[in-house]
Amino acid sequence: MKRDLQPCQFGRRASAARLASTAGAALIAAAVSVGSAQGQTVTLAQGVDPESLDPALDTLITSVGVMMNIYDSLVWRDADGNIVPGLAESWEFPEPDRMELTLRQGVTFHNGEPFNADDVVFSYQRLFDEDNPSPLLTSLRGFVDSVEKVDDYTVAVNMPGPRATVVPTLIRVPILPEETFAEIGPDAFGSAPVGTGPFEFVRWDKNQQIVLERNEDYWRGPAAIERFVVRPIPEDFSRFASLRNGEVDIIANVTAERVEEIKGDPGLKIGTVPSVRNMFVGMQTAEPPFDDVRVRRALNHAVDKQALIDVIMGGFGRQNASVCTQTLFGAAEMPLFDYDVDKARTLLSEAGYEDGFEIEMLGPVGRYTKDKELQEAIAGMLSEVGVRVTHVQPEWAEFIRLWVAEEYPMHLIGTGNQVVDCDQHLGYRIHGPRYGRYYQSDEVDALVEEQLREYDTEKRKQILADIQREVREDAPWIFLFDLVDIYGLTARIDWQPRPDEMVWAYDISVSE
Amino acid sequence: MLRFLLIRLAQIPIVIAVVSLIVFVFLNASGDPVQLLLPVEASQEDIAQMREALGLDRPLLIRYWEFLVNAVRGDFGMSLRARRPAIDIVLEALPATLELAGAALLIATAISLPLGIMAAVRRNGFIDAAATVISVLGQSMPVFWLGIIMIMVFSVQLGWLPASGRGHWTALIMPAVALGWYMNALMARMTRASMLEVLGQPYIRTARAKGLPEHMVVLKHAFGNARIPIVTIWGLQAGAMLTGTVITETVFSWPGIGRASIYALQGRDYPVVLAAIAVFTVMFLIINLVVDLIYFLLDPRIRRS
Amino acid sequence: MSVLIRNPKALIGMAIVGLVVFAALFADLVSPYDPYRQSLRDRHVPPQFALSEDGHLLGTDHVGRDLLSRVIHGARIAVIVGIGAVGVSAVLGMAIGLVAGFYGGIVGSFLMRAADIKLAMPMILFAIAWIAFFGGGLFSVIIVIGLWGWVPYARYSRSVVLTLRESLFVEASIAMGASNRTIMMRHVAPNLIGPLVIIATLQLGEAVLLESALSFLGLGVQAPTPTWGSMVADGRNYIDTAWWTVTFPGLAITLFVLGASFLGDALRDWLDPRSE
Repeated sequence: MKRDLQPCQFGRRASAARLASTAGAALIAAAVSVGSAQGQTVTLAQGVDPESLDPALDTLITSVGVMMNIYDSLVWRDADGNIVPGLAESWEFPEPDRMELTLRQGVTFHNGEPFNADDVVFSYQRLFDEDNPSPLLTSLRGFVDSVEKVDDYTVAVNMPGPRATVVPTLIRVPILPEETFAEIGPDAFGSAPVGTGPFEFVRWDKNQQIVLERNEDYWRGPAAIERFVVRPIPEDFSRFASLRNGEVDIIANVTAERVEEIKGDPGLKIGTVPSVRNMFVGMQTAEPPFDDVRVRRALNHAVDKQALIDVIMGGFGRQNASVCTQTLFGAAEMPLFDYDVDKARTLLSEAGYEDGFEIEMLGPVGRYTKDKELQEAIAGMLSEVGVRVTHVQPEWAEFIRLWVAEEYPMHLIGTGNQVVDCDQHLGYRIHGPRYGRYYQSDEVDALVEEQLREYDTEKRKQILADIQREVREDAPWIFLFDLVDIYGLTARIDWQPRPDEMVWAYDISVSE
Repeated sequence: MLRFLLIRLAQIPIVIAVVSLIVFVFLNASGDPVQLLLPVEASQEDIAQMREALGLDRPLLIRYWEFLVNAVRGDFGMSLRARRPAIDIVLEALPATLELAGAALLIATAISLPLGIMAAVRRNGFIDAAATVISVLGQSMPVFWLGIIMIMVFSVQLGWLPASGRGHWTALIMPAVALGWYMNALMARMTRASMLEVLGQPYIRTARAKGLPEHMVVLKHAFGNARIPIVTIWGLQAGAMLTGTVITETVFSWPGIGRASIYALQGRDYPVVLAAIAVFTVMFLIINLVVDLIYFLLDPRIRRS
Repeated sequence: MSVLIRNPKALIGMAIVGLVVFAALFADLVSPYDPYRQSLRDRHVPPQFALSEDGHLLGTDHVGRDLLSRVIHGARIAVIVGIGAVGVSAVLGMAIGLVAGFYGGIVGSFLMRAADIKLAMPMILFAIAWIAFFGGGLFSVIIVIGLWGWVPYARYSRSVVLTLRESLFVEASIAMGASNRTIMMRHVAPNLIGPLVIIATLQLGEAVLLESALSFLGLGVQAPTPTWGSMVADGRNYIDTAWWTVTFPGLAITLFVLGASFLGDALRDWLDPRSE
């Protein structure tokens, strides 16, 4: 048994194995004839299969990523992060709380149904159906009240007030064909969707593969690749093995250890992009010991964030003491809390905790890259200043329940951002005018409301910077770092990853 | 026989009711499907509205009662997440699981029968020792550990077999071997034990005394009588196999019920979980029913009574 | 007893199980480091198969903890989980089996139907629901694994009771007015112990395997408790970059289960002469 596991066999392919793999290549080629890494077919492997391809039902980012290849939104964001027209050619604000969009003409859905304003109104208004509420509505509430038809190619978006981030918010709502949807019904539509996007739906073998084919009549022009296949592979290691084996072309969430290995393989390469996701340790600022800002700052000084990045994240990460990930609109660079155990001890004893304290930390396992390692390492660092952490690591469903209920004084979590704007992070993290938990400040709340009404980008950036400064001083979290998304690619793939965690196959091309 | 059959069939609803009640209560008390369904920024109103729309605001026992009443008619309700019939989601995954389990059973039988028989015939010999080691090793390795090592060797190092997925027969090999390996262990031990017991019986000595060739003695007389306890093991394995499929399907990305039910559990999509429990239970009982029927056919004593 | 010593299987089994129990009892004394002490800078140090003052014989894990110390302390958890789960199973199974055997009739068949139901239950789903509800504490994991394995105990104790009830000497004691309790202690208990010990030894290994399966699904004993299962589960993502983190705890599981089943087999051969 033990001989099978000699170190020399791992990480390096022996030449005998090379020979053998040539012999086996035929087997594999046959095995993956549908959805393989061959020709003009590009295969993506991610952790989970969508529940549904109806955007009103599944809002998980990996599912949305698949859908955005099938559907278009009114507005879109290119790979560089710029907001660009989608099914809407242009837009304007006749009133601060009303937006009018001119729609693209001559676009048809994959089944031939022509696209017009009715489809837009339908796609939005169905989300407001009270009897059949959509999780997607949560993203719209507070930004969009209703969408109405002005004429066949003009629609109006009514807002509850001025909303500076309404344009990128519209990216999140794909446009569906009204007539087709009514004809085949929601069940069948969710399993075999029709859109206007760059790829047409072909088939979906549940938990196995989703096959999409290029839409030759796409209004932006046909995509570079013929087929796009998405496969769910839950195990990290199996995903990586499939990439190495040439069964898939793109895998997400590559761990730092594998980067060197991928770089060393001439058939593979990595693609990286600073993510919209920021990791932090939240603290219950309403109760002792974290109601004292000195304690919160002490903990910020006690954690060696650079060591976390260098050692656990393999150098992929960026220290950030702002509430906003630095890739977001409006993010400002904030001075970091330096790693200083003595300062941390002094602050703690000033606050009356010379001997530290015992505390429970809630954390997920297997949700974020290296989440368990991070929790263990942070607990180890905090123990140096006398803060003795007990881990509470339930499975994800229970984690979310406990987190929402604010049952524990500390938690590790990461916030993503689909709007790619600071505002969404403020909404998530600050218990103010909208959602948020664990941290509340009247001053910050007022600023959060103000920036949302400010259409002038420069002025808005100013207010956002003020918010970030204020929050940094309050230190309601142990600020950790922004993630870097790492993708593993086969060498023939030419693709620059996007910061918003979606794989948009229209941007992919293949060199043979 | 008929009475026996009826008792077995009557068990199905009881098992489903008991198991589903426990799982139903536990799942509802931990985690919240609505909070998982909605993005993290969901407000209290969003949560309340969604809860009401899904009917989750009503008392637990009333919902359970409704589930039972509908389940009798084969209606397990709508999946909370996919909003289509829960039973469809489970039945879609059934063929993949049957394929995997069938292949695993085949592999396990093909290895364990000859191994067990030879081990018994050459008791304490080399084959016996080898059989013991193989079967004990099979039982003592965590299935996921074995699976990952197989992927490491056969996919990454040698490049012989695909590391994931389903569709071609080569993709079935590794998951079936990983799962079969575990079953093989118990079956080989059982075969050996039953054969030993039979080989010690007087009629075997008689057969040998009559001058029958040894392979006839072993295969016809001894194995013919030892096969009943061996069949029993098949039935017992059916239940244990579930744990194996859940893990094997995850390691090898196999689109079966095990994986579907874990997803549903993690997402607190309890209609799907309950439907999966029902399907599993029915499967288990059908397999045992078949085993009983085989008994009935194999053993003249039972047939006569 | 001498049979046991002459049997190589028994010797190997006793040696392995003895080693694990020794490690469990004296973990604090024999392990070179604190199993919880981490040092990020010493992450994934490969094994140094030589004894030195500050070396790591089996290497270090993903947060720089000494793997050997964790494997040794893992033995303690394995023994606690094993014995705890076996205890739960045995007590529950025997209680059900004895009651079913003694009282027979409706109660008896009801209890035995319960055993059938247990066998048909998708236990893994039950276990996940259980841990979601009660959390991944050591105690909760022990109970759920214990609930997994009680049926063989119940079946066996019932069959023993049924056989004995028919036997002459028990009938005689009943005729002489012996209480159920006396019959229990005098006649049933001695006949039960042997076979139940065999079942228990075999289940010991199985409990450790189940714990590792739960850990794989992220549901095992809470971090940072060093359990073999969670070490293998955590290490599996480093199999190609830090093979030792998954290999050594995996070997520990395999060896322990192997030892337990060898011991169980040997005990069976010894206590059940019919199979000799």
